[in-house]
Amino acid sequence: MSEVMEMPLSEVAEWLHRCARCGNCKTVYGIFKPSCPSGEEFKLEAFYPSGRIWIARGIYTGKVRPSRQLIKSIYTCTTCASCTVQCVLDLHEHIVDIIEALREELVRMGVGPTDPQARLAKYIKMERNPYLEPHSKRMELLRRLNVYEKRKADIVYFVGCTAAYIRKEVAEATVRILKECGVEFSTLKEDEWCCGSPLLRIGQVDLAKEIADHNAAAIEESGAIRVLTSCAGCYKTLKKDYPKMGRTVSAEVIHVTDLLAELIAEDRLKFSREIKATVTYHDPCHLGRHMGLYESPRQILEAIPGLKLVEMERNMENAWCCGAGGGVKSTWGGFALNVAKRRIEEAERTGANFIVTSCPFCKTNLNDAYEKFGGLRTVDVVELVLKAI
Amino acid sequence: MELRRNIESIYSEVEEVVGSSFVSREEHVLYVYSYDMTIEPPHMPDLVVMPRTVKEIQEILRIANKYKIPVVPFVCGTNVGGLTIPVKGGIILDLKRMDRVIEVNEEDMYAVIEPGVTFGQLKRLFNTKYRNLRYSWPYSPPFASVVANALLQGLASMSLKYGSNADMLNGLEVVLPTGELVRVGSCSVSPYWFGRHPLPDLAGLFIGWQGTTGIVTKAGIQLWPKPDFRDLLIAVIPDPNMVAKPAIEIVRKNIAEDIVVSSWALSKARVTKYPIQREEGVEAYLQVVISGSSRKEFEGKWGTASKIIRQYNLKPVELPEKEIQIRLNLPSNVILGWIDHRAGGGLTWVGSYVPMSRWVEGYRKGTQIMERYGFSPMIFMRAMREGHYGVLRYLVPFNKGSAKEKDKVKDMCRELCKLVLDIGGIPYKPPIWMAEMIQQRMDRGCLELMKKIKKLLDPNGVMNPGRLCLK
Ligand SMILES: Cc1cc2nc3c(=O)[nH]c(=O)nc-3n(C[C@H](O)[C@H](O)[C@H](O)COP(=O)(O)OP(=O)(O)OC[C@H]3O[C@@H](n4cnc5c(N)ncnc54)[C@H](O)[C@@H]3O)c2cc1C
Ligand code: SF4
Ligand code: SF4
Repeated sequence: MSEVMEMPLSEVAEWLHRCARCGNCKTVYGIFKPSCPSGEEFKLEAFYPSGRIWIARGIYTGKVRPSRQLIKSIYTCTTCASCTVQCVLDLHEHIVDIIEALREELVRMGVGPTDPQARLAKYIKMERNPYLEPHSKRMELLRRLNVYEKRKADIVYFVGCTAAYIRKEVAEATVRILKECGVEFSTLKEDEWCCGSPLLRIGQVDLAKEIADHNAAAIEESGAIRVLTSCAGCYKTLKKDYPKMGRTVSAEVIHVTDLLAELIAEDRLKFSREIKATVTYHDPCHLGRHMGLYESPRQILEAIPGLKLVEMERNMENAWCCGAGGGVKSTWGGFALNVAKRRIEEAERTGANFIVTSCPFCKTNLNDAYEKFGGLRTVDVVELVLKAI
Repeated sequence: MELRRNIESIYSEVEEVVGSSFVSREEHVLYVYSYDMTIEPPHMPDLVVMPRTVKEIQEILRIANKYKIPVVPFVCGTNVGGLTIPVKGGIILDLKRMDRVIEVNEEDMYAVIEPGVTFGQLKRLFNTKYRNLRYSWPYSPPFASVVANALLQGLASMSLKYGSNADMLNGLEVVLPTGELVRVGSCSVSPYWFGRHPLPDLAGLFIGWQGTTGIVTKAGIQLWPKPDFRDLLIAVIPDPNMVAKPAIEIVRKNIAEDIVVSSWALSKARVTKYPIQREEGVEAYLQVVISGSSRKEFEGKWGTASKIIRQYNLKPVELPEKEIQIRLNLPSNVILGWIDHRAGGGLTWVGSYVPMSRWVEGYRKGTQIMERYGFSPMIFMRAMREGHYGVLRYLVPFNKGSAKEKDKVKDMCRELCKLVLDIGGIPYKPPIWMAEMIQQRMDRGCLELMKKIKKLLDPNGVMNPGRLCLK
C-alpha cells in the first residue's frame, strides 16, 4: 500500500496552538490529586501534557530543533489519556494523538524511539512479539489446552503477546472460562502477530501498518464474526487504531470482560464458588479512558458471590495509570514502578485485599511494583472468574 | 554575551544545589517556559531550576548574584500577563516542588503554605480535613498557585468582604534577591502567623511586585468559616446604564458575600463560539452570592437582595443546579471553557481595579472598543471591599495561531488600557507595556520610591528584570 509521506504532525496541526497551558490537565478535578504520571514524576513543564503539546508545536514550526535530548520528555508519556479527560478545551481529545504524532515525527527524523524501544520493534519484526520469544511457541499454551486445532468458529481469540508468553495465566483462564461456558472459538494460530500496539505507542507507525495489514487479513480469513481479546492494548489497537490507520477489521472486536458480562446476563456463566474478599478494580487506561469500557468488569466482580468491590478515589475516567504503557516500562522501568506504587497505595487505602484489573500488562507492572515495594497483589478479572465457577 | 559564556559554570553550580534531575538547559524544556497564553512576546530562558527547599533558593540566588543572571519565579504561569516570560533570559525558578502545607491553624483561622501549593490542593484539604474552613477562590485554574495569586493582588470569591487576596496575607517568608531570608508580619515576632499588624507593613515590599523584589517561600493566608447557608441569585440586566446601580445598592446593604456583573458575551462564551448572538433584552447578568449562618439570616438577606432586584425591574434567572454549583463551588475547571471562544487557545485581558462610580462608562466604552475590533465584549465586574472599588476586566480569548489576530488584540488592549486609566482605574497584573502606561500617569515621587526600593533590595538587578519597567 503506498501512502503519501507528509509530516505526521500535519494531521494534528490545527490543534497544536490550542493549548492555553492552563494546567487543568495536571490535576484530577474535584479530587485534586495528580493526573499526569510523567508530570508528577519529573515535574518540569516539558513532562506535562501542555509541555508536550507546545514542544510538538515547536517542532512543527521549526522553533525547536529535533535532538536526542527530546526523547525523555516525549517518551515518558504513558499515553494514559488522563489529560484528555481533565482538559476542557476543544483540543482535549487530540492530546494523545498529538503526542503519538510527535513520536512518529521523531522516528522519521531519526531521533526516536529510545534504544530499548527500538529493540522491541526489532524483536517484533523478527519474532512477531516484543519479548523475543520464538514465534513458533506463541500458541504453545493453546495447544496444551487443546484449543489449537479448531479451524472455524464465530469467535476468534486474539491471545496477544503478553498473555501468550508472559501472563499465560490470563490466556489460560480466558480459555477455560470459554470452554466451561460452552463458547465455541478458534485462534489465528501462527497467523496471530503482535497487534502492533507497542509500535504505535512509540511512533513506529510504518511497521505497525504492515502488521495491521497482516492481522486484519488473518482475521478476515478466519471468517469469525467476533475477535476476542483479553488484553486492553490489543483491544484498543484492533478496535480503534486499525480503522484509524485505514485497516478494516472484518469482525467485531470484543474485550473478554464485555463477553463475560454478556454470558452472565444470558445465564451461561454461573458462579458456584464464593470468594470471600474485598477487591478494588484498576481501570486499564487503554480499556477505560481510551475505549470507555468501565462497566463490564465491575458487573462481573459484583456478580461473584462473596466478593465485595470497593472503589479507589481515582476511578473510571479519573483512574491513575499503572505506569507501564506508552513504551515507558521498557525504557524507564523505575519510573513505571513508581507510578504503580502510587496506584497500589491508593488501592490499599480502600481496605481491599487485592487489586483486580483486566489487562495483562497492567497486572505485570503492578505486581512488579508489589515485588519491589510491597502493598497489594494484582490479579486479572478472568482469573477470579475462573476461581468462582 | 558574558552570560552565555558563564552558562556552563552557572549550570554546574546550580546542578550541585538541586541535583541533575531538577535543572535543565535543554532547548525544548526551555521553550515551554518561553511564552504563555497571552499576546506577550516569547523569550527563551537559559536555565530552568526546580528547588525544593528555602536553602536551595538562597544558594541559587547567591549564584545568580555572582553571575548577574536573571531569576524569574514561576509556578503555573497562568497570570494572563506574560509575567513569567523571562524577557531578559536567565533562570526560571519553577517552584512546583515547594508544595507543602506547613500548618493549618484551625483555631486562629490561617494556614502557612509554600508557593507551589495550588488552589486544588487547598480545596482538597478543605474537602477532606478542614471541612468548616474556606478560602477566597478566584476563577483561576485549579493548578494555579495560591501564593502567586495573593502576591499579584488577585480578586476572588470573598473580595467583596475582605478585599483582594493580598489583603488575606498574614505574613511572608522571603528570600531576598541577595539571598538573605526574612520574615515579615506577626511571624517575625511570634510563632503565630495571625496578621501584619501592629508592625511596619513590610509585606508591601513583596506584594504587587511581580517577583521583582524577592522570592516568597512561605505565606500565611487567612481562612474563613464556612457558612451553613449559601446560594446564588441571578438576574438579567437589560440595559448598559444599569450595570452598576443595582449592584451598588446591594453592596450598600451589606448583605452579599460576592457581587459580580458579567456581560452577555462573557456569560455565553463558555458554550458558544464567536460570534455570539446577543439575546434581545439581555445586556448583562447580575450574580449575587448570599450566605448566612442561619436560615433566617440567609432568607432575610436573600429577601432584601431580591427586593432591590425587583425595584430595578431586573428579571431573575433560574439556572440548573449544576450551573449554580459551577459558580459557587470554586475552583472550577469547566468555567475556563471560554478560553476557546475564538478557537485558538489564547487568552489575554485588561483587568483593572476602578472606582465603582465609573463602571457604567468603563462598560459602555469598553463594549464599543471591543466590538469595533470585532471581538465579543466579554466584560467582568466584581464589587470589591464593600464597594470601595470594583473590578473591570475585559477578557480577550484569541486565536494564538493567527499573527494578524494577535496584532489586532495588541492594539485593542492598548485602547482598553487607556480607557481604564482615563476613568481613574489602574490595570492589575500588568505586562511591561501596561506598566509603562501606568507609570506615565504615576506620581513621580512614587515611581522614584519604587525604583529606590528595587535598587536597595536587588542591587544587581537579578530578580525578574524588565518587569514593571523598573529600570
Ligand atoms: C482562566 C483564568 C481565570 C483566572 N481567574 C482569575 C481570578 O478570578 N482572579 C485572579 O486573581 N486571577 C485569576 N487568574 C490569574 C491567575 O490564575 C492567578 O493570578 C494565579 O493564581 C497565578 O498563579 P500561577 O501559579 O499561574 O502564577 P505564575 O503565573 O506562575 O506567577 C505569577 C507571578 O508571580 C510571580 N511569582 C510566583 N511565585 C512567586 C514567589 N514565590 N515569590 C515571588 N513571586 C512569585 C511570578 O514571577 C509572576 O510574576 C485567572 C487565570 C486564568 C487563566
Ligand atoms: S492540555 Fe488542556 S488542560 Fe492542559 S494546559 Fe493545555 S488547555 Fe489546559
Ligand atoms: S497521556 Fe497521561 S502521561 Fe501522557 S501527557 Fe497525558 S496524562 Fe500525562
